[in-house]
Formats: sequence, structure tokens, C-alpha cells
Amino acid sequence: MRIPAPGSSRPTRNWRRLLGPKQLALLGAVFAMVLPLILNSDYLILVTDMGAVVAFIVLGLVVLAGFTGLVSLGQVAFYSIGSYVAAIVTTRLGLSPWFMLLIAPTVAAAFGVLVGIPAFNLRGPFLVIITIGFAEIIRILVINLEHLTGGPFGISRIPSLKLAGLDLARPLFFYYFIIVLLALAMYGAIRLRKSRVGRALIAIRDDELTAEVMGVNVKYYKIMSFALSAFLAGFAGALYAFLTGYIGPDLYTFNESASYLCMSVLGGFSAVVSPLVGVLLTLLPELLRSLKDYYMLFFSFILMVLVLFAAWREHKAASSDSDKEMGA
Amino acid sequence: MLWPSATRKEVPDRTSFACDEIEEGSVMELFLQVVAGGTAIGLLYALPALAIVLLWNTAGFFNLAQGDFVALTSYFLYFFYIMMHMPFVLAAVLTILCLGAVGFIVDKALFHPLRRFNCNPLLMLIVTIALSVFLKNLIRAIWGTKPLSLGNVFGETPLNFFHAHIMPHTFWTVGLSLLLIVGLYILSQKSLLGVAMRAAAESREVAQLMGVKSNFIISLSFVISLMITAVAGILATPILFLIPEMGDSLGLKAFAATIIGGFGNPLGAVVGGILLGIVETLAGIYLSSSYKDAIAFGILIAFLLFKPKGLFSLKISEKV
Amino acid sequence: MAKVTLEVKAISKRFGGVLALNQVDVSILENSRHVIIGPNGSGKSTLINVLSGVYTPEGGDVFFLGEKITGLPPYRITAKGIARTFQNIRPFRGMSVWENIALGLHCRTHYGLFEAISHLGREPVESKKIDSKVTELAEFFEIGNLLSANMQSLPYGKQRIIEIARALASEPKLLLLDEPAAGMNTAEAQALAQTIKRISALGVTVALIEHNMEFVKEIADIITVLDSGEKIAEGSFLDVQSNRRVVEAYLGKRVAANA
Repeated sequence: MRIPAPGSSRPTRNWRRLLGPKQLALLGAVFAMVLPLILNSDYLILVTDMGAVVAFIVLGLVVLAGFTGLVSLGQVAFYSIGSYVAAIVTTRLGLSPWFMLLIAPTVAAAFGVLVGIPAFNLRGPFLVIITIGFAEIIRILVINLEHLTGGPFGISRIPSLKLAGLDLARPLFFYYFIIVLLALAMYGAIRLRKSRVGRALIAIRDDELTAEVMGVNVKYYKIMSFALSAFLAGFAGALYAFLTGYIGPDLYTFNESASYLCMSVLGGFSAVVSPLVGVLLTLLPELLRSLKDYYMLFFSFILMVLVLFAAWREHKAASSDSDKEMGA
Repeated sequence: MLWPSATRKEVPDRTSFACDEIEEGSVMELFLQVVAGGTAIGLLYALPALAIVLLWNTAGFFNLAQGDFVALTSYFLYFFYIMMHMPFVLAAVLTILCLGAVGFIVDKALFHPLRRFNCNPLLMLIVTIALSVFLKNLIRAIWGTKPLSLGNVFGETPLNFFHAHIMPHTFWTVGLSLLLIVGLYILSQKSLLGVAMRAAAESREVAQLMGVKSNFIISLSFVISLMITAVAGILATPILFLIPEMGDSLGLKAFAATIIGGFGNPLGAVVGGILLGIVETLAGIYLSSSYKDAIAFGILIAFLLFKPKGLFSLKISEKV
Repeated sequence: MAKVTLEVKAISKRFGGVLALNQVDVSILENSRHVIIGPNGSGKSTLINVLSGVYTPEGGDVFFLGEKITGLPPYRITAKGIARTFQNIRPFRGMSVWENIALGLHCRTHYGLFEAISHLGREPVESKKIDSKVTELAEFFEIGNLLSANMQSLPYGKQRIIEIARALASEPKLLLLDEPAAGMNTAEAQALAQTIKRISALGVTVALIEHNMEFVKEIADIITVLDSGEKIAEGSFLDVQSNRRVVEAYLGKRVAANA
């Protein structure tokens, strides 16, 4: 925070107080409430719903890659598992979708643990590769286990969530349902970051060895990160299944994983901004129809520029620090 | 879907052998076809794998966009050979040059500045992922999503090799790849450039003190790694369908090859690639071709878990 | 007879062909200030790494308060009461000074993921505990005004102090410091010596590696000298200073002969 020069009355301090985090949250909430009115189209609201679903996956990635430093290009696998478990159990066994909203993510989280256990040893690129490989295996299994997953044809007629007589598959109802959940999830992530668990994760990301020496059980927290991110992605998967009533294998490709990571990075791995970027990048191509095919092209380019910029800034900061050190 | 014809054209249908009367000759035939086919595919993994290891050794980062550069090669080749109607050899040479140019641009615009800013490895990784997405979308924007094909460049008729029917494509692939690999080996051992690159790989600081312009070396290795990848792409394109995502599967298998062979070891990358190709071919015949890829990835994961140092590891453990 | 906090018995550690530690025995007494010195490459850092669980020795055992801790992972050893710093400063760059020190308290506070997210269960009590402990440590080290800063922007000497604060946060019975006075000028080193004496006064046993002999003389109760992976001398500063083998190790045989 800048110290105002003596004698000058800086409006800075005042507007800072006006736009503190609580105020921004309130502003965001109001905006979110009226967004459907602005969009004024059932289709666009549906797309926003899908964006909100993606936001959960991105939030998971913020925890996994942003907080803990574990870059994963396999989140789509957990998304897929969540969707398929929810779909299969509700269509075959007739269990309630509400029940599956808890069970499906838990199954996905179990797979997260499965991936996390061997992965905790792996660094950087090796970890990424194993997540890609895992996601590919899941994708191939889904396509080939036809009697279970419907193979290339997918699963249809998935029941929707019903609340107090309202059918939550209607885009508008689903919208209000999901933004409440998303807000809760984001709040949870912020609380996580401020807690002892969050500190442990950041420590692991910044300097794993020192973290362990300081008393952090690195293995446990890495696996926990995987499980949590998988849970969120699985939750998103179940939500998607109950929203659209139909799922198929083309929804769960490697490209999706890459775009989730891009969204996380573009949002600066922030628990609030990154999921919103996820919603935005899902909605934007529909709003700008003409550019629909090119938006990922732009955003990956912007991402590279942003990384260059961030690296330049860090470099400048580091070299000015070392100048300080020389002087000190 | 990405590897449709290589194995199917070369290997006769299993049902043509009656189970109870397999002659010696036909087993030998099958064996040769599997080895030849598997090796050819394996080399197509091995070359990008070699490129990845080369880059890792000299520059210290992992290019996750390698598969997409193969895809770019295929599309450039399509452009020169089909769209511009150039003779194949000319098209191939131009493609390699173009890839080199692309490498130069990407290095100057992206990797060099990041190196200068001492970018942390996590961000480096993310940049290569962003590059990968960018390349895929660029291809999509220029050439569209409809699958394209080069047609059979190397000839349709199988050649007779010790009673085994082997496609000319296999011969070309194995021949040219091995030539390239041997050439690179000689270059690295005998030429001054090669020695400089190996020095930079072992210790960038010391090499710099010895007068090796390490930035230049790293840029050069990136360009070379792309040109190696280009050769692989050119050899692979005739047997593939061109779609913007075609690099994903190939790239992942190239990574698998580097890990199986022992990370950091160029020879290991080649051997890993060939082994992967043969195992994948075998799995395709005896298990199920739809699970072929899953088996390849399964092997990758198994190695990462149980033998992370690969078969011929060169890595030395870190001292704190 | 003074109680032994840490007993190191015949520790050997090998790296490929190099024997970094060869049958080293050390006893660190309760509440003492034990300094390990030796020429470069003598195995001092390796020893600390073995004691803190970063390396597993090929031979020998380490006993802490009578309990065998050889081969335990570092986080378990820290939980048992041994904390350490590194030769290079290793801050957690993504966290403020406050958070860095709070991380030191990780193994002394207990609440899990659900409690963290929901503010329920043990979280409120433990959070208060963390708050007060960090404040206490900040006062002890006089860094209260630096708590919201990012460690990297601070001068080197301050970063060292914060690292020690972070280590002390885990309420260790034994504090291992790897060259804490490195890169400090005389005034800073003096201040550090006083700080270490104050840490001692809290009842913490301190063992450290150092090269700065003025500093060592100021604070050491007992000195252990290593050379090429072996213990060659042990005793007070005067004992060690006049020990011929020690002089040889540092200055070479000819100088020792002439001394």
C-alpha cells in the first residue's frame, strides 16, 4: 500500500476501502443475480451453466496446480468418471440424483487418490505425463466398455435434479442452484488457502524438501490435493450429467484438460478469478459467434504473452532484490 | 484411429492360419512382420523422443508441444505436396526447412526471453502447454478439422523380405531413421559442434566458461530437435489421417519412449521408442487393437511407478 | 551427569564412491551449545542431513532422547522435536513472513481439511494458538514489523533470523543450524550469537555448523571437529584450537609441524 506524500490528500485510500474484498463480493453477487436478465436467452443461460460446471473443475486445478504445484493435464478423467458414475447409477439402478451428487465425486476422489499415490514422487513433466496417460486410459476404457458406458453412443435420458417441485434441468433454475454452490466452493477454497492446510500446500509447491523438514507430511498432502481436485471435477461431471441429461465420450478429451489448465493460469491460479475465467471462456465463444473457432487460439497466445510478462516481472523483482542485498 | 494402416496392411489376418496347422514359415513371417512393423512405428516414436531428450539435456526443459510440431510437419507436408503439387522430395525438404524456421521463431520469441528471465520450471511447462494448444488451434484455423490424407507415397505393393510381406514404407522409415540417428551420433561425438552441445548438456556454467556460447547452443538444439521431429513427421504422415489433434497420441508415446529408455539418455530414447512400437504392435495383434493405446500408456505408467529411471538411466541423484 | 539429547553412533554415509561420513560418533548434551567445525567437504552438512532425516545413513544409528530415529522421514523427526535450517536460505516465496513462521507450527497444531474450510471443530482454537505463537516469536526475534513482508524483499541477515524463527516455531528440543552466520558482518554475527544464547536460555539444545571462529568461540560449549568424514577432535574451544590434528586439517601438515 502506498504511503501518501505528506500534504497531499489521496483519494486512493478511500476508494480502496470502497472496493475491499467484501464489497467486491457483494458487487459480484448482485451481478450474478441479474446476469440471466442481461443474457435474456435460455440458450445463453444454459451455456453459462456449463461454464459454471467447468468452473468447478478449474477450481480443483487451482488447488492442485496453483496451491500445491502439481500440474495435471488429466482432470478431464475425473470429470468423466463423475459424469459416468452419476449417469450409470441413476439410469441403471434408479438411485436418486441427489444421492449421486455426493457419491459420484467421492468415486472420482478415490481415483484421485489412486493417481496421487504413485504420482507424489514425480516431478514436473513426469507428473504431467502420467496424468495425460491416465486420462487417455480412462477415455479408452469408456469408449470400449460399451455395455457399461454405452461406448461411442454415450448415456441418455439421465434424470434431472428436482428441488421443491422445480426441475433443475431448466437452465434458469439450474443457474441459481449452481452459482450458490460455486460461491460456496470458492469461499471454501479461500478458507483453505488461509488455513494451516493451505500453508502446507503452498510450502510443498515452493520448496518441497524444506516443507518436509518443517514437519509437513508431503505425501499425505499431495494425495489429498489430488483427491480434492478430483472430487471437484467429479462433482462437476455429475452436475453436467443432471443438467443436460446426456453424456458421451467426445465431451471428455485431452483438449478439455488443456483448456482447464489455460483457464487456471489465465486467472492467476486465484480461487475466485480462475473459475470465473472458466465461465467467461465458456460463454464468450457463444457470445462472439463469429470468433467461436478462434477463441482458444487467441487465449493460448495471450497466455504465452502473460507468462512472458510474469517471468519478466519476477526477474526484475529478483534483480532489484539482489541489488538490495549487495547494499545491505 | 490415428494409426490405422501400418499394422493392418502388413500383418495378415489371424484367421488365415488354422490353429492346428501353423507351419514354421508362417510364424517366421509373422515374427518378421511384427518386428519390422513395430520397429518402424517405434522409430516414429523414437525420433521425437530423441528430440525431447536432446532439448532436455541442453536446455533443461521439457517440450510438451513436441507432438504438435509433428502435426505441424504433417500439415506443412500436405501443403507442399498436395496443395502445391510439388514432388515429394522437394516438399519434404521444404517442410524440414520450414520447421527449422518455426523453431527459430519460437525460440527467439518465447524460449530465449524466458531463459533470460530465469523463468521457473513450472511456468516453463505451462508455456509449452500453451504453445501446444496454440499450435493445434492454428492448424485448425488454417486447415480445418476435416481429416486429410497424403495418399500412399511410398508405394502400395508389399515387398518380399525373407518370405514376409513388408510395405516399402517400413523400409523407408527404418532406413532413413537409422541413417539420421547414426548421423546425429557421429555429429555429437566427432564434430566440434557436437562436443560443444554435449558440454553444454553436462554443465552449462562450465561450458560457458570454456567459451561455448550457451544461448546459441540451446537455440540450435531447439532447431535441431525440431528438424529431427520433422523427419519423423514426414515419415509418419503417409500412414496417418491428418487431424489437428494428431500430435497428442504421438507426443505422449514419444514421452513414454524417453521414460522407458531412461530419461536423459538419447540411446535409451531410441531403444525405448522401438520397444514401445514392437510391444504396441504385438498387443494390437494378440490382445485388441482398440486397447492398443491403453496398453502403451499402461506400460508408461508402470515404468513411471516401478522403474522411473527407465532401462538405461543416466541421471545422478541430487545433492542437498 | 548431563542428559544426552542426541546420540549419534557410528554413522556412515556414502555417495556413490565417496564416503562422506565414516563411523562418526557424537553425543549432544541437553541444553548445550554444540558446534561442529571442519574444513570444506568434511561432511558437516551431510551429518546434519542425516540427523534431520534428509539422508538415510548406510551404517550406524541416531538416538533422540533415547529413541531411535534412524531412517525416519524428516517430517516425523521434526514432530519428535528436532528442527533445522539450511545453509542456503530457503524461504517459501509464495507466503509472507507471518505465514512462513506459521508453517513452522504445522506439526504442533492439528486440524484437517473439513475443519479448515468450515471454521468448525478444532480450527478456531488452533488458529488462535498459531496467532499468539507467531506473535510471541516475532517479539523474541524483534521482527514484528516485518510480518507482512515477502521474505525475498528483506535483507539477508533478516532472512536468516526469520528462518531460525520458523524452525523454532515447531517447538523443538534440538535446533540444528547450518552455517547461520554465513555472509554476516561482525555486528550481525555478534547479534546472532546473543540470539542463540537467548534460545539456549529457553531450554533448547542448539547444535550448529560454523566457519566463523570468533562466532564459534563466543557461543560454543563443546566443539566437534570433522575432517574428511571422520571425527578428529572434540572438546572446548581451547582444547580444539591447540589440537595438532585440527591444525593439520585446516592448514596442512607443514604448518602444523612448524606451529
